[in-house]
Amino acid sequence: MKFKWRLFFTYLLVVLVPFLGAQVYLADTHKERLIAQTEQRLLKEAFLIRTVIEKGQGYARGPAAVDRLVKVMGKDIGDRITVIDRRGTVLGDSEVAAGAVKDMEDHSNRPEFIAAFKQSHGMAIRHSVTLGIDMMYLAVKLEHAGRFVGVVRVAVPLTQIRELTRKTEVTLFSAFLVCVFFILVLNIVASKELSRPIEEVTRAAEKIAEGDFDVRVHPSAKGEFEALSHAINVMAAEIEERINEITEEKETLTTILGDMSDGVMVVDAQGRITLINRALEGLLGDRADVVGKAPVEVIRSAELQDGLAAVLRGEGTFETALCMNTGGADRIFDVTIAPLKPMGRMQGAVAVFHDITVLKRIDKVRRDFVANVSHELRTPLTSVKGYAETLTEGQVKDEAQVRRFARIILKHANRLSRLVEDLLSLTRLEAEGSTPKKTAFRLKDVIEASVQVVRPAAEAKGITLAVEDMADQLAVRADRDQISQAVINLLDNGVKYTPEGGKVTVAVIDTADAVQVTVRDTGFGIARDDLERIFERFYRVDKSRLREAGGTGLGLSIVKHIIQGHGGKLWVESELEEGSAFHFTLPKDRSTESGGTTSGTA
Amino acid sequence: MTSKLERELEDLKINLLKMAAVVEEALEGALAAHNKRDGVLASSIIENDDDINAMENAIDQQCLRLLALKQPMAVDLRFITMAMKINMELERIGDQAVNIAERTLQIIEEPLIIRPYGLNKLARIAQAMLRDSMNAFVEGNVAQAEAVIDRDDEADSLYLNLVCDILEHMTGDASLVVQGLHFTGIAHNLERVADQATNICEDIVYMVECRVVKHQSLFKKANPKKP
Repeated sequence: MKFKWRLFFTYLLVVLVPFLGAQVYLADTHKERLIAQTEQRLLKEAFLIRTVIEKGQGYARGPAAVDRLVKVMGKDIGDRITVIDRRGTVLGDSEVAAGAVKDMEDHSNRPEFIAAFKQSHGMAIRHSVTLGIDMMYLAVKLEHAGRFVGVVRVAVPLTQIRELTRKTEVTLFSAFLVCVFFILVLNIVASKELSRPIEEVTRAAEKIAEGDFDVRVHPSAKGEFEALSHAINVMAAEIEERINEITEEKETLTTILGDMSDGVMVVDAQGRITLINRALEGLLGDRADVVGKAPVEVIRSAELQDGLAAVLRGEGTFETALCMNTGGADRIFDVTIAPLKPMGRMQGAVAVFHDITVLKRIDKVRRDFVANVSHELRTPLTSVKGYAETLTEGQVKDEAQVRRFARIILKHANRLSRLVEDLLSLTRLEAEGSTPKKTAFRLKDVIEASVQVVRPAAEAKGITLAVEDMADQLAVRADRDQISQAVINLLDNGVKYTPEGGKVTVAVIDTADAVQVTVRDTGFGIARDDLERIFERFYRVDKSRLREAGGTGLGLSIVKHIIQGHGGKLWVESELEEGSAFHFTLPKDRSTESGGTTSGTA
Repeated sequence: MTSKLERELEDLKINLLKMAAVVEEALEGALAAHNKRDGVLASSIIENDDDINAMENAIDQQCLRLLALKQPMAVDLRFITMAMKINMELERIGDQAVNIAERTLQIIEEPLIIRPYGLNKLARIAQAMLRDSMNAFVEGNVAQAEAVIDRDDEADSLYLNLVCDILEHMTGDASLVVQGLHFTGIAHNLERVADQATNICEDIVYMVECRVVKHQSLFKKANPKKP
């Protein structure tokens, strides 16, 4: 209920109680007193009339005389007068016509008549059938010659009293209405005064609840309300400060999460994803609407799902390695899942995806390298040792046999020396501060020379070796020996991994800012998984393939180092069973180019 | 507010996806073992099949319990029954992974002579179809499911080419028959994986749209009046 109305009803009650009291008082006491007065008056009249009838020429002259007398007196007094004899027969009545008096009913059963018999007089108030209104009847005993002969009755209608009472009631009610009107006016003024500060405070509180913390209450009233509005103002300021703090913290967190290179996933207590950061979003590709889903719906891993469930059950933190296919290459993640448990209540869990693909690969490369070097060295060494021991024992006498053994030893020693040679050149290339000894030369010359080196091997396998798209006059400034080695290695590789009857081509393309050399073959191709690793030392795509091909497993690695040393790029395109294309670029150096031309013309 | 049934269906979905994850890993592992001629890995795939079977049983139990206790209607009913079918298909794909692993164990007994070109491509297609079918299941994506169904033809023709290629090797040199048979077996397993992924996608289309795309030729015959 509104404040205004509550106030109003209180006032109303306060006024209503005295008015009702007055009403009750008037209805009872006031009315009683009026009746008693009337009774007194009637009694006096009755005594007078009795005296007239007894002592005067009334009763002794018979009923007709009585009737006449009564009618005369009744007209004078204005009240109704009735004379009734002992048996109840009406002898005279002031308000009934003379002829009709003897037809009037028996009055012996009237209460005032009976009372007058017993005592000297009797009174009754009742509805008169004869006149149709409330009447007061008062009867006194009539005696004649010391004998009881009848009753004189005086009656008066009570309309007067009723009117009087109603008049007072009307006055009272009017006064009441006036009071109510004043209450209304007073109420409007007072309640407005009272409720205005309350409404102001309420409005301010509502605005604060809606998030508008700039609102302040301007106290328009003193006293309690001032304290209240002050409290609200302090609260608003406090909340504003807290909200600002929280917003700032949240922004900091969002920035940290967004800029983190590790993927982060947050799930709620039900195991639904509530947040993933940008890094993880990038890993998931186009499946952006992940919020509200179960982790397994987004990252198909039973381990991740079970791990999260275990952490949410309160089994501490969880760590696992996870392999994820992220649109192309598989990546390996170290996933750590920790519970989110502010104030000891399980709110969810957070999973951090740390990409360890590179680490794993480096680790594998290192381990593979050591194993490979030992293996590659051991195989020829075993042969050398074996044959040398046999020769030392002097069991082999046949000279041809001895020579054959020596040739085998030489072959393996050559292989060992090639290997060591390759390893050394790799080490030189890797060594810091080593810069290629750059000279200007025509690329065409180097490539043609390189093709000549590989041609015998190609012809032996029936492989066509072709030079295409040669930019004839293109000169570069580079380490001639190194570039030559790189091209030979690539061509050699192409020949090795192309089945008989295939084709290996080399092309030089003059692009806008670089010289690009492409060696293309129609060989076995390289599987996607292997593509990234073929430039690693000793990495072989096909481990089952016998090493008879004669490579050291270092060729591509050397090419990579040479090209990188020249500030160029080396990459490979390959489709299984269709062949591979190795490309490398050498940056063009304008000054070198012009210098080369000058020296050419000189 | 989610109802209890909804939560249980969600739980079923998660279990099914976990099953799919494990099966995908098994297939991936079997193929990796084959490519790297890694006997240890192949053996571990064969051993892990027990886990997949246990998961299949658990999901079956869960489906039956839901059907019996909740008496689901309409889309929920379709989801549960299709989950049972997808579950079965996944378990079979798990079996194909085991088959591939077993054949790998035999192949690596002897040096590799045949290099069946196209096997890796078939493997990639089958794996992609399986992955896409489960992605379609997660999203309820009918278009994606239908794309997988369409790819089945590609897998089939690749399989045929592969078998012809291997047959050529075998007819040329009788000593290659054993190895050739192993390779045809693996190719067949992969072709089956593609088929099962197709089945899963057909189930997904039915689950989402209540539309039968299975055995279309049969349907056309049964309702010749329909266009």
